[in-house]
Amino acid sequence: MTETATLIAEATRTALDEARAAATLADLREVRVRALGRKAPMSRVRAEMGSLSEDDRREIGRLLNEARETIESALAARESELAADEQAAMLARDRIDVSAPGRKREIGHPHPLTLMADRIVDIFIGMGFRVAEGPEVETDWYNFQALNIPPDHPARSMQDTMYVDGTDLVMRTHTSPVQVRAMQAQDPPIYVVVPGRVYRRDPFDATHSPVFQQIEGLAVDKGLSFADLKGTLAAFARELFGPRQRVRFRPSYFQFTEPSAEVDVLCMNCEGAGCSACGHSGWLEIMGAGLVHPNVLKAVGWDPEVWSGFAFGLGTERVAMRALGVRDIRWFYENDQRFLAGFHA
Amino acid sequence: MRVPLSWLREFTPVDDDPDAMATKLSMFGLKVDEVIRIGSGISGVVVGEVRAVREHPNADNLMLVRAYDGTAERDIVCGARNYSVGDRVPLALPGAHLPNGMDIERRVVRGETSDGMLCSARELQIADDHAGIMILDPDAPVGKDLVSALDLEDVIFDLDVTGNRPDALSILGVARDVSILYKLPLTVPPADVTEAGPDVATLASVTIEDARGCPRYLARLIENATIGPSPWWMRRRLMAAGMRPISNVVDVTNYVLLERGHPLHAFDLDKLAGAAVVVRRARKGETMTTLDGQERALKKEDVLICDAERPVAIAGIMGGADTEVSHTTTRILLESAFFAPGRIAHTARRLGMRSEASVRFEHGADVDNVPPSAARAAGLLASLAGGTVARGVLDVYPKPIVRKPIRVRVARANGLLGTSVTAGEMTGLLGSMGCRVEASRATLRVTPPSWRPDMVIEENVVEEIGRLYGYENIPETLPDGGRIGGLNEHQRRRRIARQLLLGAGLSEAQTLSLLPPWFADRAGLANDHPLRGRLRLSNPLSEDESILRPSLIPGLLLAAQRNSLRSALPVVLFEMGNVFAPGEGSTVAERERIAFVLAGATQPDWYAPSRELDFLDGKGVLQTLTDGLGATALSVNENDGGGVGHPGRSATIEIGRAHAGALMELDPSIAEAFDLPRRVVVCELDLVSLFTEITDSVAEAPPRFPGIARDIAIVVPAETRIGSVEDVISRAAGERLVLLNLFDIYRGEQVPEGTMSLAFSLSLRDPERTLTDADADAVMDAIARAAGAAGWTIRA
Repeated sequence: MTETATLIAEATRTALDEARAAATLADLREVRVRALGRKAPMSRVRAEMGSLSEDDRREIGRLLNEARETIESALAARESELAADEQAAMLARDRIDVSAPGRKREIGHPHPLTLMADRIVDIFIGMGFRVAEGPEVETDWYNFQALNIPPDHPARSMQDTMYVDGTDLVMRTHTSPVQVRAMQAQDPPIYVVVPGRVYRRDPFDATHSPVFQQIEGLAVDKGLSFADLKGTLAAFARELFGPRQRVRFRPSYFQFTEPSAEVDVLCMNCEGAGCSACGHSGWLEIMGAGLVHPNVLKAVGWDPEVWSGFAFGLGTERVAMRALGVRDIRWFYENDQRFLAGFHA
Repeated sequence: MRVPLSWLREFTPVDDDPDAMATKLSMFGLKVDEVIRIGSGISGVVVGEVRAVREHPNADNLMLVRAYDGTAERDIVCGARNYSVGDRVPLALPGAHLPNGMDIERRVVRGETSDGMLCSARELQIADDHAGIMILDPDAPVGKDLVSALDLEDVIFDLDVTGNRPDALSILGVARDVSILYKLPLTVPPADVTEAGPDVATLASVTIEDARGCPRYLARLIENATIGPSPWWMRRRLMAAGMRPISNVVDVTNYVLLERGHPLHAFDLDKLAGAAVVVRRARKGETMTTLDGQERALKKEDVLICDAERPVAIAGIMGGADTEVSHTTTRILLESAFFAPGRIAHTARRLGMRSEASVRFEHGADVDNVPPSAARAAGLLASLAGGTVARGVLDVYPKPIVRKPIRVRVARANGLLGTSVTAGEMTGLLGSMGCRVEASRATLRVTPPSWRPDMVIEENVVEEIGRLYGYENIPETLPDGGRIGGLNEHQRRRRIARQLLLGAGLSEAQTLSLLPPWFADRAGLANDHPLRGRLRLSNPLSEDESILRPSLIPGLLLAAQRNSLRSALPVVLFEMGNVFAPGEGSTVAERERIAFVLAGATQPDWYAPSRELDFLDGKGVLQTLTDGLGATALSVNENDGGGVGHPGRSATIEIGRAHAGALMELDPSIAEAFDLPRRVVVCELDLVSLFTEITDSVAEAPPRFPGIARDIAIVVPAETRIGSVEDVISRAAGERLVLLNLFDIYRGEQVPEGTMSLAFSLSLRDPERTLTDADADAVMDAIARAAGAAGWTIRA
């Protein structure tokens, strides 16, 4: 009886020592077999229990259960230790070089003129404008006459306009004919911006292109004034160029607006101090604008005594060149992919 | 318009910093493009006198000049020969600085010492003339500093005068605005003339037969004139204003043109047949030779100045060669007239002749300026050319032009400007610039001055009130809100299409919509090929930009070529834009397209080797686009390339049975012609057709029952179209097939020669219940039967 108890105690001690010493989960499984398997000393004791007295059997049974619980819990503890180690080792083996380049799909780059046009258009959308578009090949009436530029008016210098051979059609010289088309397509009031390509008989050099882009704006409503035009364009300039921007209106002349103005913004380079980019004036001319000429309203049958409005137009390239630091207008139309790679949404 | 400050000051005593003045003028509607300071960069140049001239002994094209500098004679080597002994010339002494940055030193030229330099007008930046050494007036004080002797220092305002302000194309007109701006008095030089000799009516006659084209014609006669150079003060002013001095008579007409803005013309009276001036329309087939020596064909809308026999000038544009003033002229008929702006504009445009005179007449000269301009010029001629001015004028003005007052409503003016200026203030502002104003409380009756032809309707006066009040004083307000802005559906989809292609790795191009005619030939296009643009411009500035693009592909190819030549490969570009084709009659049909080009090999990566882009990459891009947009009805159908595509790698794109575009690899010879890699994929689609096939997004309930995944490999003859195999599978599988994906194409030892194995993965699902293996087996059996029926075998 005492002998048996000693044997159990020793077997327990051995099992605990072995469990502690097991270096792997496989070792630990062998420890379990040796300590608790069929051939384990304690299993033999249990097998021989039938020959014992009732009291001894109860006592030995108790000792055996205690020993088993002790061993099981030691094995479980060691198992979780070893499992954690193995997990750690597995993760260590799994380590990668996070500085290696990712597996990616090449992404394309937007064209700077689209980027700029969308940005400008979106500002006006935010002020309640819709977007109108029209054909690039126009009739004389839309491009000139409806805009208060009669035949033989000096504003139609032959130099500027290009004609489509064999037709009476012109390459539109401005986006302004869309003003007329947009007004014809609906009833007042109207608030639209018009992005698009225009054509002039200009040489293709660093500052000119025979094809270039404009964004035009037109608002006609009851009671619109020159002050509204000033406020709208000032809000636009602050949104596009920053909250410290200011606009300056100078009297000018366009056939389809009266009064007319040229619109300057503070030079983005020197913020008004004067630098070589702005000819030391501190200002950059970016737009032409004015109140819609009554003859334009009359051309579409809108009564200038009831409706008034303003129009403005800017050169997309001109603004993009300033805002994005593009020094040569031809860069826009070369489409060198390394140039395009500089632009992103 | 170049306005010298010194000249301006003769009219109004302005005294302000020139740059500040430039800003004020710009803010007042007279935009100053540049403030030019002349005479400021010259030092060490004196008035010299040529004492002796001989050939340089060692150089054929050089002269040796002995010049007197006021204290001593010095030897100068000189390249020009346009002077003679006794001439006064600009002499730059050693140590002198010229405005072009040149420093003058004593130096030895071909063995002869040059102790200074004689200067041309251009070297001194006095004028553009560089034909020779500048010859000064004989009375120029020898030895005196050139800048003070010639009164060279001045400030020039280079004004960009807008078309509505012909009055500002003169010193007087600009001075008017300056006097308003600075509240200074305006002094107009007196137009007095001392008349002598006989009455003009006994010497010549003026008849107007075309009173619409010429409402007023005034002539003055000057006799006994001597043609010669005009004095330095006049030449200096003309040059400062950008005109070339010619002779006293011509210079006087130009001087008065600049001073008062009214164009004048001088005829040699002795060359006018019958000493008559007749103003009439040109006759059919009539021609005349203008003083530039060109023969001009005339039309009946042209206004002609004629003598008793023939045309002698195209009114307001250019005189004739026959009656031009020459050095033998002694009797002058001076024309001061007013011509109808539209008629002059029409003729000037048709003949392509724009002159200082025509510009002023086109925009509207001042009819009241006709007599004083003539008097001023006659007075100057009398004093500078020694002539006598005949008594009186021949002034034919049958129907005097009377300006009607313009009714201006004070409330409307304020409503348009967004201001609250009182009627009294408006009256004051308009009065200051020369309007006659009768004001009541609510309405002004405004008669503009004769020099403002632009002021015709109420809005013109409103603009002038705004300008005088100051645009900078008008407040900034915003229109009332409450409107909904935004893009329409087409515009929104266009942006989505762009984002899809950017996401697919293509960059956006914007190419010129005008093409060079050589594109089609270089591409070897057939004469009737649709890519050969059939619309051209009648007046392009350059042939390289003369054809309206019939497609986006040519521009993209040229962009691809540029990238290829710069080794920026692969080319992965797309563009969206309008293309042009002849329409019904003589109209132009404009369509919006989307196109892309792929060429070259992908960048090799550590996880994927480099790969040459081909047709199927293009098809992938197209599918990304159509999947993203939800344009499902699109099909890609093999064709022969239509003369530009690779015959085995080309397809048309159809949307709902209608042709919508093409996808192809270009014929390799075209790729080569544009310096591109062998495989160039191009695709072009009609944007409207594409967008019309977009189906609305519709919610589908998330599947409640699990599906089953199966694979199948079918061995088919090698030439079999994959699309047809997919069709067979889809049809056999029926509605339970929700996804069919080709994941392997195998040719090799494991399958019979001349065949290939296509491996597909399938997802099967039923919306109503969980599929069983038996269900899936039934589908797979149906596919196997269909494949068998097609003569194909299932690979185990």
